[in-house]
Amino acid sequence: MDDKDLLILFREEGKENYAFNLIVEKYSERLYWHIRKMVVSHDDTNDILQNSFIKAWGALPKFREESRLYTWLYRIATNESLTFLKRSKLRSFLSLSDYSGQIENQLEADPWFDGDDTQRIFRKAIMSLPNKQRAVFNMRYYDELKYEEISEILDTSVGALKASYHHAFKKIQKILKESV
Amino acid sequence: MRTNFNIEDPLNKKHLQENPFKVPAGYFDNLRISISDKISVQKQKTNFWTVVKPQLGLVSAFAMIFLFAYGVFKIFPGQDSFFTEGENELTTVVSSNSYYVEEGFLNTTFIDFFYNSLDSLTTPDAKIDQDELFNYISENIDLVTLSYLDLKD
Repeated sequence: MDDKDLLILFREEGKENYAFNLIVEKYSERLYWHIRKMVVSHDDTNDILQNSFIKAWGALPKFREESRLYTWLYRIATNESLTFLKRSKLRSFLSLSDYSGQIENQLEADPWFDGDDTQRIFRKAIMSLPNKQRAVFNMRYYDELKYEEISEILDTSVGALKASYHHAFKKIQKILKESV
Repeated sequence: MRTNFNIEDPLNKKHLQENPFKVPAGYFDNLRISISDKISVQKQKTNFWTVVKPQLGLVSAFAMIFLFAYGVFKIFPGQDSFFTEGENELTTVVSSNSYYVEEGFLNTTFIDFFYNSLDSLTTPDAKIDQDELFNYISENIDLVTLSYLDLKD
């Protein structure tokens, strides 16, 4: 069922629960991986994803289809992830611990990470990027979204996104050249 | 150290794009149930608030009007308050007199002064005693007064 039909079904009286379950079924996996690449930890990803869907449920009756449903959900999930990362950074700042070190160690300690050394170094390099730059890099490199789509999700101009991706690419390339 | 490693190289990119993360078995099936449960709870909360919210709104509107009116009367006192202030002053005077009465400095009140039973002139049914009058005149009258009375006649 395409997004338009899902939205029509959602607006029919008494069918909203069923329609929303279909939306969750269709997009939960893709959004999960998008969030997981941002925050690494499975438990944090699970919390953020559930919050994102609950927010989407609350806001869906007001959704005016100015953007595609997938882009809209992606936007909610990205904002939730960025808010979570901001809070984590503040929390570690208040407890005087090293935030970037913590993030990198999270990957080492993650029991659900099953990559080789190159992938580990690559992921660590991505984790060293500023939060928004990381989001841009992930969406472009992994999900291969167009700049126009990323622009819609992050509410940033295409030019700024291209510059952001370029900086991220250079940094990661440098780390990998030194480490691999 | 390899200096020619390029993350945009198609071979490298394919390898790096592989998903190295795993999830617990059956996670996505449970996730759907978990989200569905949370939404049901959220819906119940929403129903409760949709009932309570308008009533809370009404109560707070009445409270606002009452506070506003109270504030207006406090800031701009009308004539009623003027009388209240006057009454307050009177109360202060009366209470200060009462203090003297209670302390025994004054043996009578202001009203008692006019209706004192010893004062025959102010008694409502007072009659002048002729003998008393003649005694008073004979004791106090002088020659000048007598001559004046004489001239008048």
